[in-house]
Formats: sequence, C-alpha cells, structure tokens
Amino acid sequence: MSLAKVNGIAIADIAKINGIAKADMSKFNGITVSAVETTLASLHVDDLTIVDGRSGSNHANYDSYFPANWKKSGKSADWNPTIYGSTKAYSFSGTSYSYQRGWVFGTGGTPSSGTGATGGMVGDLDATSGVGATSTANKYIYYEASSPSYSGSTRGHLLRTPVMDFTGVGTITLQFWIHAYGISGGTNRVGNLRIALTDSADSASSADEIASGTGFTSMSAGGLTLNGCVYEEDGSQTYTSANPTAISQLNNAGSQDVTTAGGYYRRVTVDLSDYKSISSTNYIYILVYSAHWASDICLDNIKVIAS
Amino acid sequence: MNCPECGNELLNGQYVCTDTDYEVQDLGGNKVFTVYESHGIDGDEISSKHEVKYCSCKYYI
Repeated sequence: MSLAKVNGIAIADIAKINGIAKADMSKFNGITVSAVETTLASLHVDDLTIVDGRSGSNHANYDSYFPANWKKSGKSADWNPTIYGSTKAYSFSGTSYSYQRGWVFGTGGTPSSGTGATGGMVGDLDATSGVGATSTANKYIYYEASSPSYSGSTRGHLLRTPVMDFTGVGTITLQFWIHAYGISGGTNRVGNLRIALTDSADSASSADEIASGTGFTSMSAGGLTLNGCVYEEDGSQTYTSANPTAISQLNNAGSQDVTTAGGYYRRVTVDLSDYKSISSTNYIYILVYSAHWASDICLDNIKVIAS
Repeated sequence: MNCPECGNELLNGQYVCTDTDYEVQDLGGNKVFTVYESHGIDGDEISSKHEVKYCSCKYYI
C-alpha cells in the first residue's frame, strides 16, 4: 500500500489482485473517494495441477487436484450435493472413463468432435478479452457432456464456490467467462447452465435458498438470472433473453477455435447485490445439464467481487 | 503444410469416436494413434468424426 496526499489529506492507493483489495480512485463533486474492491472467491484454473496418469491426456476430474474450498460433482461420490428436492447431482463411479466426464479441467480441446473449446483463455482473472489458446499453460474447466454425463434433463452436475460473507458490502458481482458451442444439425445441442445462491454447502435447492427464487425448484426452474453476457469480443452486443438462465449457442459464429473471434470466450456477469447483508454464509452453485453428447460448456476465470 | 512440432508433412485423416477411445485414423480407416482413452462411451456419439490433418508424432489439427 502506498499513500498519497490530496488536499493535504493522506489517501490509500491500494492495488492488489486475487482476493485482496483493489482501490478504484475517482472524484465526485471535487472530493476524492475510494471504492474498495475485494475478491470474495476466485477460480484461476491455470493454477490447477493436472495429473491423471493417462497418456496423451491433459484432462482431469479428480477432486484431489481441485481447490479444497471449491467443490464439483463428477468423479467422486465424496461430494453428493442436492440440486433440488431430493435430486442429487450425478456422480460417476469407477476409474475408467469417468476422469473426463461431468466437470473436468484440462487443456487443449475437449474429447468429442463438434463441441467444446479448443483451449482455455490466455487472460487471467482480470482479463478483458476472451481470446484463448491451445497451449497446456491455458487451462479451463468444462462440462464434458459425453455419455454418461447427459441424459435428457435428468442428470445435472454442480460446481460450487467457497463460502462467502455478504454482510457489510455494497455491491456483489459474479463474473466468469464461457464458451458454449454445440454441434449443428439438431435441437438441444447446447447445454444448459444455471446459477443458484444458497446458505448450504451441499444443496442448491430452494429449500436452502438465501432469498425467494435463488435456489432451484427443478432442473430447469429457479435460481438467478444471468445478464451482461458480452456476446461480441468488442462488447458491441449483449446477450439478453426472456429466459437467460438457459444458455443458447454463444459461440454460434461457428467456432470451437478459441484463437479466432467466433470462438473467443464470452464474459458473463451476475449482479448479486440484492442479496447483500442477508446472510454471512453464502454459496454459489453453477449447474449444468444437457440432452445431447455434443453440449460441452467451458468456463474460465471465475470470481466473485464485492465493493 | 508441415507439422509445427517436428516439421514432417501433415497427412489427411479423421478424428473418430469409437466405443473405447477417441482416435485419429488415416483415410483408410486405420487407427494411427489414440487421443483420449474413454471406455464406456455409448449412444450416437460413437462413430462421430471430423476431418483432421495429423503427423506421426501425434500432433493433429
């Protein structure tokens, strides 16, 4: 932290990233004010270690390589969260194909042809561009839709943030970058992504919701609204929909290739400010499900910011 | 077009999902190398394919 003086008064000029305060200095009616920005949670996928022991594959599902305070359903039955009612997230057993199904983190392309990204983002948590790369240095997390992940709308998979305290903050924003491309030639070829906010470490259900409507009441109902999805790389278009919690084909310029504009990751923001000061115990859940094997959804650089 | 990894000429082939793995095949349908092992795939993904260029060093694009 460095100190500067304005009109004889010392002010803080703070600039730290990844979980630590970041100052936004501005002037209002001639008076210098500071809005302190804090990252409540972040998932920098490039930091994850991929050791799956399988020749030629830079992909992993194993919980032991995932941040301890984040959770994902998929490989292990150790975490078996509730999506809604008594419906649990789908878990794989055994050690064969399951390392690359459900929520997976990896580099390069996803296994199936005709869906998924060809790599992760070049930028990090503070990225302003969704340009990607195929390098093993550019990791990302994705929902691998291939069998047995998908099954109509009956199998969902959850990704969960660490616990966060929303008391005493002004604004709260969830931000992540997404690549959603499903193979052409049919309906239901793009996966669904939905967001819930609850006070339970093991449930995204409306029974545990923070406020009315923040939890899931079914696989396709309840939860939060996604908005502010930057559709074009230059921000010239914004994704809006009457049902924005169901992701459409964002990368419909026809590209899995993250190195070209049609395949760049798109930034999504979700304003959570309505839920400040309700609870000191908050978990955000990201649910994915699909009705086709070619419905991979890729995410990168997830963070929750308060100011 | 040459391989950016080893410099050899890239060949035409196909990326194919089989019931045991994802693999690169030559134009005669012969397996050249495995890309991902993935036992247990079922459904209509099996036999899905797209054209690729590949190298004997296992690079493909």
